[in-house]
Amino acid sequence: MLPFKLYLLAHHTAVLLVLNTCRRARGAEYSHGGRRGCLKGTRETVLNEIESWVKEFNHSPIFWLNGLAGTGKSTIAQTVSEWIFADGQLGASFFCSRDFEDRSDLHFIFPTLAFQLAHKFHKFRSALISLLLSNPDVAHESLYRQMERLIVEPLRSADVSTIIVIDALDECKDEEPSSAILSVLARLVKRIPKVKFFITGRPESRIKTGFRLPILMNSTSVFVLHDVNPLLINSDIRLFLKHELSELAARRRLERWPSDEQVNLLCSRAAGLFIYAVATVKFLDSNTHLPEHRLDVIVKLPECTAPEGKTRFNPKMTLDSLYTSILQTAFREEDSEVYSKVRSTIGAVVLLVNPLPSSAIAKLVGLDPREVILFLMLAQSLLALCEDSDQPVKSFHKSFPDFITNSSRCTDTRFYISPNEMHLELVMGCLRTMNDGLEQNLLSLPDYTLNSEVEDLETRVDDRISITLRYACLSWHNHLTETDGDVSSVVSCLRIFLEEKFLAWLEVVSAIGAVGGATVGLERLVLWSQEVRLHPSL
Amino acid sequence: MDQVAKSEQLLDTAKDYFRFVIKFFEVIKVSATHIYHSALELCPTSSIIRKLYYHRRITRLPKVVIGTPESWARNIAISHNDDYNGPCIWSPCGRFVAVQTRRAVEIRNQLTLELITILQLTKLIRDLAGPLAYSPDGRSIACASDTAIIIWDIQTGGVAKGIKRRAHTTSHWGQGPKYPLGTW
Repeated sequence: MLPFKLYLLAHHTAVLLVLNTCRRARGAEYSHGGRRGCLKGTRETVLNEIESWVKEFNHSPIFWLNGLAGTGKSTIAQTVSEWIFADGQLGASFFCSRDFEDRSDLHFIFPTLAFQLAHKFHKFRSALISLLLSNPDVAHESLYRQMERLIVEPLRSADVSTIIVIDALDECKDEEPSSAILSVLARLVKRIPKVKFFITGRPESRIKTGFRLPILMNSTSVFVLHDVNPLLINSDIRLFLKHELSELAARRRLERWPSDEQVNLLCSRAAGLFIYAVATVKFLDSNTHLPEHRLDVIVKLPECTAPEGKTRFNPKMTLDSLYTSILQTAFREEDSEVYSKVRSTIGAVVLLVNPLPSSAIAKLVGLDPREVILFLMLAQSLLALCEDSDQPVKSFHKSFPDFITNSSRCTDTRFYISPNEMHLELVMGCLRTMNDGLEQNLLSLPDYTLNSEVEDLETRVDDRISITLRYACLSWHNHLTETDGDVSSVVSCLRIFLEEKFLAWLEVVSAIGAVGGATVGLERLVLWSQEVRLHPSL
Repeated sequence: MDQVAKSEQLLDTAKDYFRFVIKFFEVIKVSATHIYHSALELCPTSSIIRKLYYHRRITRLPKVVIGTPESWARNIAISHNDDYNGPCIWSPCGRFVAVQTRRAVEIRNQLTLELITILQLTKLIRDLAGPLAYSPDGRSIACASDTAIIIWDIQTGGVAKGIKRRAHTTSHWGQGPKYPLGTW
């Protein structure tokens, strides 16, 4: 018996090894990221509709949940994923996110889904493994081929029925006029009749045209979240606010708080945007302030400046004034220098290619780490902050970066973050970090070794290359391409980097296994230098 | 040094380093130390990277005395494939090239020749004969063969449109055996 067990073990290990060679985005499943589902009793119309779509197999194979920013798409996607996981029907899920490079790359979607499907379905795994063995580069092919070979063929040979969830499709970088993923789905979905797709996204034009492709029109059920009866949404938002605020009141021992008028006012200001309610609760729940004082601040906000005669005001305006007043309450200094530091800190959080912990942000923008922690704490109702200061910091919802980097929405110039200027600051930070931190043979690798021969390569990388340096080495060119204006300081920093640290950078990139990305970076550098030469005044 | 000269120099250096990384891509990928052992020793004598970094090479092997190229080869990247069959065209944006093989069309990065997408043939077209043409917006590629016309959508790699040609209708289609597509 033993040899057989050994064989099984060896087989199992080999299978895992092959699967792990397939590139994929980490943390894209529904269970990562600490999202919460819908509060019980809210969003019932949409959830009922989705439930009947899930249960009936004659229904269209695709369900498109479409809604404006902040209407609660991801929360609903989270709830749906949790249910169908509990029913055993969830095959795979991919929650796209602009905050992470891999989770905003279309080319990671199908390989990641395939990886999850392989863990779930035995037959799918065998089909996928034989494919990967014969064609290890399939994850680098075109989207059509990826979907065909990684998803459709193995699913057909495994003959399983399952549901696949893709959340926030609009957060992937995509230059097609009609969403690339959707046109691929349109062509292939007929070949896997037992599989359903649940997709959410903002009604951006390319996604809308994608769903209008003739082949998709007939096979898609559409639910438009922002067209739900406003009364229904209002009562959902009221339920949510009451629930969250009564919990807060109990925790902080407040009695008869908040009053019904206050809740009514908040509901009408939310104007159908769940994110307004979520942001308000987050703002009230501050450890350093009394919730009732903070609620007064919001209640006292001037009514929105919507043109007269309009009964329902523009939801974006109310959200913008909420964000502005949260920022104004958090930072009340007179000193203009403080605001430039605040902008650097928050700007880094919203524009980094991948999120970083506060200490790394401090190094990158050249501020005292204690100061950065202070600013982040002050702005915490707008951020996803952990108790643990080693954890990366993100904004709590993508409507916040949209707001603060748009000068027509964020009208308080003390807080407006100009993307070009911020990228300039970040690329300078990256170059400074690399010029200071890189040196020849930083990892003390023995001469004439291949990377694969160094057994503890990963530990060496972790020990000797700080998170900041790693980020700088991998992402400086992403920021470089976004710069604008006076770049002479960047040019002089680049010169030091190229003349003294270039090979040390290549070493690090080689040890991390990112040489492919480095060629992209150098190509960008060539293009950027051409621009600078043509327009020296830039 | 004035601003213009500085930016000229930056561009030259960037191009030179880019060639270095492309030329020694495989070496750098598998070994960080061989950047100093092999890549530096073998890079062209006139290259900027050699001027700035050659003194940092680490080698216990005999020094290469003769045979190092003098400058970067004119072709900065080469892609070998016995199947290449037919013309190679530039994309309208100038960043990609499309090239025919017997069974597919490959889209490659024009600088590194890294493979970006393969456009596969379908039942409509089993062999590629005619020349390729990019659409003016660079999103699609068209090709004709003896039996059909086909248009691929580049990003998805799928066939956007295809028409099968009936036999003996050459006169409507093009002239003679080459079936020139002309321009878009």
